Amino acid sequence: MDKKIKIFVLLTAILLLSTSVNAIGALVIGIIDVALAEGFKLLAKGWIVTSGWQVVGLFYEKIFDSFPLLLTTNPPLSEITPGIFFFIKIIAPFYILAILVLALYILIASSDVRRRAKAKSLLSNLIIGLVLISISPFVLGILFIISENLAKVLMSMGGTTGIDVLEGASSGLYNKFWKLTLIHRTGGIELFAIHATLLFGLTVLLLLRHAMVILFGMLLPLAFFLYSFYPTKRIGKDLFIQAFLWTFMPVAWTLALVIIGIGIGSMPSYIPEFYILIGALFFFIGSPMMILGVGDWLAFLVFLFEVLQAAPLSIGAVVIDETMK
Amino acid sequence: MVLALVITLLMTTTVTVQAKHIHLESLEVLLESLIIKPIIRGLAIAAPTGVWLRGDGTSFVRNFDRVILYNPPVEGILPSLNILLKILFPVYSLLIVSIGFYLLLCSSSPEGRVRAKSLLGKLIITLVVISLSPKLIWLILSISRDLTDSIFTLTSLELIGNILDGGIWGMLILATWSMIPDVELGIIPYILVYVFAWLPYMIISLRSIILTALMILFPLGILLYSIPGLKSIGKTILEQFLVWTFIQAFMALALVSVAKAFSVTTLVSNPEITCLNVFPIPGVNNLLAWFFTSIDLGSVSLMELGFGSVAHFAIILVPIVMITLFKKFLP
Repeated sequence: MDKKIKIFVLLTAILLLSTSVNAIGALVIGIIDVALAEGFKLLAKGWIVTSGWQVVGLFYEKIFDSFPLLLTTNPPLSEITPGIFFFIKIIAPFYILAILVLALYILIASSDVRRRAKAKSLLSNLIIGLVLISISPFVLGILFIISENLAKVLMSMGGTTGIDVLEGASSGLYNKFWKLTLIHRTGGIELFAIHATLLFGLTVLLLLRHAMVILFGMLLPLAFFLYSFYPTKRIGKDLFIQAFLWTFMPVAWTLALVIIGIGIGSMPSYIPEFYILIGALFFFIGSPMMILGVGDWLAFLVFLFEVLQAAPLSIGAVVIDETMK
Repeated sequence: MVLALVITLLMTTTVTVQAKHIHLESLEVLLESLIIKPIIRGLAIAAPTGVWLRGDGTSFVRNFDRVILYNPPVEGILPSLNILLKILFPVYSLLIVSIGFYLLLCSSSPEGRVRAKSLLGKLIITLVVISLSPKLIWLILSISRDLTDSIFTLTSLELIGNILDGGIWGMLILATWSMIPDVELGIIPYILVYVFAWLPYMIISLRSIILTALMILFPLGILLYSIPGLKSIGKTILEQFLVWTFIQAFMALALVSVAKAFSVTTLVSNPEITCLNVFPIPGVNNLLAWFFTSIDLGSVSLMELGFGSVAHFAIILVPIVMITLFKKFLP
């Protein structure tokens, strides 16, 4: 064979070889690229899922461990009594002044029998109020004892089952979140937002109760003082009711836990468990409103509607819907 | 030799040209989802917010006692108050003259005369009160301020500051932790950072504005309160003035209550979240750790975050509770 032809054949062979090597290489690289890309996507989703778990599972959900403690105890009276005495010190001079003025009015000024009778009735109210104010730490102590004992009794009647149900609801929400996230990285975001907000709200409510009990406990002398006078009677009554409601809120919560614990077993099996658990979680949050009448029923229903209507509109639901098609 | 060089050159060019057209999706995903975007979120969203919190963002946390104790100065409303008094004094004169004429000429029934005399007495008393209204406003504001100051002595101010600080920084830590892998994941805590930074100031500014308006309207409220047909309007003005004045005392009481609750409440488990382990890559993690510790962004426990949020919410809720509870208390 001619030398030139040999070179030409060799050149062609090299070129062909390089082209095919390139083609195969591109194919292999493409496959590896796709596999790696999917792997990285999965890693990114895994990162979202684990971060979500850190926030709800390892952080917020730990509040469930403290439920029995938070629901069966009240702040110690020793922390509230300085505040009570602070208000007693402010109110006492007004009381003494009011009693003195009224006594002088009865003795000297009033000649009308009706007015005298009214003044005497007010005087007796003031004296009763004065006694109540001086024993307000004991009144609060009695309210605390009743509330704590009732909550403890209810908790022993199956409160822990209720807590397990709530934890189950939380786990259910997280399960839906990670499954949706695996389908699409932003698929479960709305569900996560609802989940985290519910748990955050629950934590804040439980801790807020302790602060509110202290606040309205300190205001108890003011409540009795205002209750003694006709124009401010309603405010005094409302303040006392607030102290009463915030003290007895754990009783409503533990009762709700018992109801949840009992009710969960009697649910028909054809209803998916997840929906029952979610219902129980909402019932627990709304239970003080339902049982003690704190807040507004309507407000709670609006809140519930807002949460529920947000779920079907979530990206996750749309993604699933599209995938099923 | 020349031929071999040409072949090599050709092959190299082909490979280079082909390499230029290679589109590596995996590289894109790696860079976008796992490296560049998380770094951008950390450095462009979380870190500047942290820097902002070190300055203006925690202004309320650092000055909460002074801000709550603040009352609009009476001197500031004196010009407006004087204008109103200039309008009211002729009205008073007219009313007193009208009652005088009524007593002298029109009224024949003893009951009407008694009522007119009573109204006259009230008008004269309120005239005195109105002329003293700047002093009276100052007195009420001083009582409220002193009461608030005394309420703050029930607990340590440092503790309240730490609780508020824990709440706002905790929210940022939680937001940072959640938003690094996906920005939407941390959007709620991130919004709450701004809510905690701004809303207490907004509520307190609202109080100052409303209180200024009510201070100006105070003499009018007294006048209307003394006229039987307009009593309800005067009563509302005076009641609102008292409620908005004493809101500061209840804000202080709410913060004191939260501080006391914080110091006595215990949780069975008090987990912590730290934003130093946000990145799955050790090198970036260390870099971030250095960066965030340099701006004091560390970890937050459930207790700190919970009570910090409760403290901020308490400031926001107090005016609502006060206005709901304290109404129609004047006779």
